[in-house]
Amino acid sequence: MIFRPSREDMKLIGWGIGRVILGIGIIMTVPLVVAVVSTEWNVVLDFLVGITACVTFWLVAENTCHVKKDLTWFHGLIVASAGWLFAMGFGAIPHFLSGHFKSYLDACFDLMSGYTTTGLYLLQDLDHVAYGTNMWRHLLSYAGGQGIIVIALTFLFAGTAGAFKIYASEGKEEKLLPNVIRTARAIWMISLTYLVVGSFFLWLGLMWGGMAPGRGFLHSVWLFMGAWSTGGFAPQSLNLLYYHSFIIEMITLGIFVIGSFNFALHYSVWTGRRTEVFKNIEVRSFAITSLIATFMLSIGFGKMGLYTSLTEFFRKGFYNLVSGHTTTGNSTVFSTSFFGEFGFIAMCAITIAMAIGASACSTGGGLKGLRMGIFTKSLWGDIRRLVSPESSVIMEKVHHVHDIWLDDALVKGTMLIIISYVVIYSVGGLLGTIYGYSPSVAFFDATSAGSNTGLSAGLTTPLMPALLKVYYIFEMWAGRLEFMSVFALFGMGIALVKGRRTGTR
Amino acid sequence: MEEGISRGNEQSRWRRWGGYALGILIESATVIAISLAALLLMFLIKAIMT
Repeated sequence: MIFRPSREDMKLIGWGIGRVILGIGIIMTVPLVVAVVSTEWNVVLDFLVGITACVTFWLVAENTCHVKKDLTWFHGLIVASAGWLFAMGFGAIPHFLSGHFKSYLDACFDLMSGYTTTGLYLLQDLDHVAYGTNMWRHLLSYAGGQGIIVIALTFLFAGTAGAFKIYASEGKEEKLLPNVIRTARAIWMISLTYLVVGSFFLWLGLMWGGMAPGRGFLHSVWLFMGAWSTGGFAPQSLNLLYYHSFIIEMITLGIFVIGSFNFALHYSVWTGRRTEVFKNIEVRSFAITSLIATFMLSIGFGKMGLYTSLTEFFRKGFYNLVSGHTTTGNSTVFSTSFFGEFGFIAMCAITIAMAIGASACSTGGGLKGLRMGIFTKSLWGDIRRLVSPESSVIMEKVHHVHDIWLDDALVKGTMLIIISYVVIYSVGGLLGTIYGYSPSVAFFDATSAGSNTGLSAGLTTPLMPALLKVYYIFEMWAGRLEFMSVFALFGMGIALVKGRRTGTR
Repeated sequence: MEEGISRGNEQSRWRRWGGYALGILIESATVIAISLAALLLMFLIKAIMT
């Protein structure tokens, strides 16, 4: 039996979404200021329209949906999942008005790609985009990396006892500090510190390469935001290839690998538990899977006779592999090179690395290192059980900030999420194949969308079928929220139609 | 006494930010170590295959 949500439940959800949309409106003031300073008056108008729409929605939600009740898990899940969809719709307004998109659907695609730190884009003529619009692209990726719910929690949900429920519903279950609002602020403190440090080094690197200080400053901030959030956006259509700079590639590589680490890990290492980085299951898992994928990539390149010098091998091979593994999507080759030059084995290596993805509670996506660790350890536990005497009790544990003992519920939950990822990757790949794309290209781009990576083998363009665009938006959204909130939203849809009327939750 | 408290706060702020800087260095060293291991692996495979 399933219960239909009451009117009060719907009001509470509407109120929460209103707060999230207000957060989006507040973030839009940054590109607005950049547009004013750059005297891009058309862009100023685009953002004024966007901000007005967000504030109007918030005012309506605040005045019509406010109820004296706290959020439950159900409300938190729905606010997170539906909040991202509403945020996509409102955030796409300035994008669509910029004139760089074929349709509103394309603008929504780029918005979801930015929020979920994917990095795929359908924007046209990227090399001539206004500073304000470019700032918006990178900022929403940076903000989405921390989680748009985290932003709302930091500023707009203070004093709400149900705050943890919406925080956890966004795919982040870890509390760095006992209080969830302070956890959200700690996440921001880490990200902002790295923003200053990372952008500074990038700025030096760009000026060393001959870029003017003013333009170099903007590029350094945008490159940092794209890399740290593991979004992979860059201000030029050639992505990292535009800079032809070994220094910039190495700095961005460092930024996106560190950005793909768990925020709980950052906090532990920063606050005195220095050895955590060596013991943590996610770092170990990342190191091992990176080396296995590097092995595959090297064999693939060797067979194809690609990149004869070791430096090129590293810059074109390892860089793109790790960019895929951390679900970033920054690239030092043309997108067509993955299919046209890399060959099947190297492409498989990158696809597998993308599917595995980064750390839990980080800016990255994919199955996550923690789940790979739990899966591997539980498999090892089963093997040990098979070869041990029947009376022996065998328990496995993983180390992530503290020791976690593996029980059936944890393994079952982990497997459910892993299967969900595999299903969305596979359906996307099959859909692309049905539309006539090469299977390796279709599965590469579908895995890239579902794992929130952003590397493309050439399928993702404004000319791709509309149904594939919608499916990729779904993949990006479901993959970023790690399914539970999405399942809850579908469940609510069914409950609204078929549910039994009852009191409030 | 107020001066003492203020100096204590100042010291603890420096210690905290020193800890953050050390954290950044450790994380960067981890990335360099993984990259060097991958580079070595690439070199070995390249040497074997040619």
